[in-house]
Amino acid sequence: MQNKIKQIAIVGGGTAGWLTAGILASRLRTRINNGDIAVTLCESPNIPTVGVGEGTWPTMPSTLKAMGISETEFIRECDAAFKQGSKFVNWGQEEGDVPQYYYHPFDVPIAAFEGLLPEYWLTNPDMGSLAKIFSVQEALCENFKAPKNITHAEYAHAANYGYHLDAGKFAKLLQKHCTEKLSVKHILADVTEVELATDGSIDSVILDQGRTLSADLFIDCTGFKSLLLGQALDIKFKPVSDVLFADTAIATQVQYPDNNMQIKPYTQSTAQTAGWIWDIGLSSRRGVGHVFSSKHISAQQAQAELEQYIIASGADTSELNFRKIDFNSGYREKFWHKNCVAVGLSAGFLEPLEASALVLVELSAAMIAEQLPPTINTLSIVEKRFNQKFHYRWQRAIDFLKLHYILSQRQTQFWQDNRAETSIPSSLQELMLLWQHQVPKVSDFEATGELFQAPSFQFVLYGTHFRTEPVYNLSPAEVEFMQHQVIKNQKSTDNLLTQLPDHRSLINKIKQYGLAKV
Amino acid sequence: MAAQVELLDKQKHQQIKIKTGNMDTPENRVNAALVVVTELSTLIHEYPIFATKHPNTGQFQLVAILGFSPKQNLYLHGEQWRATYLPLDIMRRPFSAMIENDDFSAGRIAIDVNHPWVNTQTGEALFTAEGKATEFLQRMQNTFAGLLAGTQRTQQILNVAAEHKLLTSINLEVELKNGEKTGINGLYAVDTDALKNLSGDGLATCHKASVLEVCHLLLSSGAHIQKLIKWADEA
Repeated sequence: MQNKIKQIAIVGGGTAGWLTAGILASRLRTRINNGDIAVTLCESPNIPTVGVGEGTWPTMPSTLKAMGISETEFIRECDAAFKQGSKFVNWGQEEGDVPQYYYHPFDVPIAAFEGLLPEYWLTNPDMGSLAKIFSVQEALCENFKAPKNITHAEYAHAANYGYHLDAGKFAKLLQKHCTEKLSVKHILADVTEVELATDGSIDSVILDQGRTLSADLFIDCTGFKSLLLGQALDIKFKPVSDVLFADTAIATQVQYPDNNMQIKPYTQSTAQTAGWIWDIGLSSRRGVGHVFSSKHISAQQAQAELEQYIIASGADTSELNFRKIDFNSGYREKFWHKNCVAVGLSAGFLEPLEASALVLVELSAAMIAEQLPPTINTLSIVEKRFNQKFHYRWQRAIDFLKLHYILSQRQTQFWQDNRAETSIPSSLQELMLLWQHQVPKVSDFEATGELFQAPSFQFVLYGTHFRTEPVYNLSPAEVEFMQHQVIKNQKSTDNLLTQLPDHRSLINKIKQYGLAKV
Repeated sequence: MAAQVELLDKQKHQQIKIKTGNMDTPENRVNAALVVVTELSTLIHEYPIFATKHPNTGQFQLVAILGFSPKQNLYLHGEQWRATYLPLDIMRRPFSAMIENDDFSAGRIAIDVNHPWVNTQTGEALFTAEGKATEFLQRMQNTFAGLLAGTQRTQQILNVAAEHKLLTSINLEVELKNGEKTGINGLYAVDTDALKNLSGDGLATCHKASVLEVCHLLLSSGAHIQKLIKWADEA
């Protein structure tokens, strides 16, 4: 066969590049071992990575496991900690005497997909938050509990989890694993030029010292620059700044005041006057940053709010280094064009409100591996499928992020602007109209591969003031079924609160003893 | 009486004697005893032996199953112990090793002075009039030396076994004649399929590290579960 796909080149070696390399190389292991396909990653020794993607989804444990990475090694090497979901503080209204919050946990409760859970809850919302009544994770998070015990095997859990991790160290671990265990070839060089073929596809990339990297499929992991897809192939960027207003982040790393300080087993997002602050607990430090709209407040003002937040959390700000990152929210008009596909920041960027960056890399790499055709002339079919799938995913992710903002009753200009109808995508407006009288359920969404599922929408939708007014009553059998779920969840919560260790002490034990493979 | 553990001292414990015999002591009313690999070849003839994880460290260890419910020891029959060999962990009583910082290479011997065997009248003395260890105490010291060395060795072997996924989590479920269902959770048995499928470097590593030998010993011990069920039915 003449036009067989034999060479895959990944350009760029941040988390996106190495994660893509690892997922591809582990899924294509047999073909690589048989010499049918080779994966090469080329990265610049000079360009620093952005490295702020520090929160994952609960997809990451299975991704790492499938790659053959030891969870113990991952936790030790990447200063990783467990994440059981997100806690949104003061998103409903301006901060009062008592901070109000809601959780978006990783566990998916029974009857959430079908919508029965919120329908029951709406009959008496005073019973407590969804995440407390139907999930164990609000209680576990509020008590700083780990989602597993030291006796659990690697990647096994009592409550669903993802991770907080050091992005730089994560890329290093992936690099080591990819090159030593998964036969990924590694080139350290700067790209000086991209050569196009006559049909407009990429022929090769020219590296410094006159070297050339040719491949049948190029994966662009070059970050915001989008060197291949954006620059060489001229695929336009589609900004969504009319929907999501944040365009700047100020990031810093905060040390724990002492080694016994609790590690939050969740990502905290606290609303501010013109944006929000992320707070991500690693085992070694916290990653904290303020995402804001520069049209609404100045960088100085944003940094002042961030410092105030850090001081209030019990840490010192005198030694902190603040890094300002400007970004454009949006995505490429196409992610895959001819023989080039962009993964990571080169494909697009959304504020890290729901930690969608790494999961999009996981999903992209998995789809490339699954759909990779054997021949070059069929690439265009996969290109079409991939673009359709990921356009849908990006649009839905944007809707979901926007949902967080429009439910707020905060009063500063930023929040008022966010609620202006002109800034809300029509797809989200339609959903909000539906949800006046019916709850989000699985049938509101595409059947498979949905990024944010009905339960996620429920946790956010009912996290603050919004209440659906159902038209129909539940049957006695449905009410009884749900009452059982509430009792069961209460029992599970009580049990897990006594059985599960404190988050930090589990991390310490994993560092000392390790988790067994079985 | 609650245990009162004291570090062994030739002056303080000069008068103490150990009256062995009656095996029905409170601390023997347990359904599992720790086992080290060095005693496996004798114990497998009489006990079912599985791996389990230490609740505080998650590290694998071996246990001989003595009963199904928490305080059930089916080897206890009146004052007798129905087996020729005792696990070192049972034999060491009323002594224990004081280990610091999980350092199993060294430890000091301690004694539970409230143990029913401890008295000043009859039994084996611990120290001679000159304050030297008696033969009895020397035997006990050897038991501990064996236990400590065996504990490290056991952990190394089980770690290699787990690394190669030769252990698999099982729930031991038994149904007694009277219809009662009982069993033990948190046990790990040898995964026979994984064992069969070992090849190449994995096989060589496991062979060299004595993992294969230990796996086969563990597998052969499983048959004693039937004996325990029979005893439980008779109880």
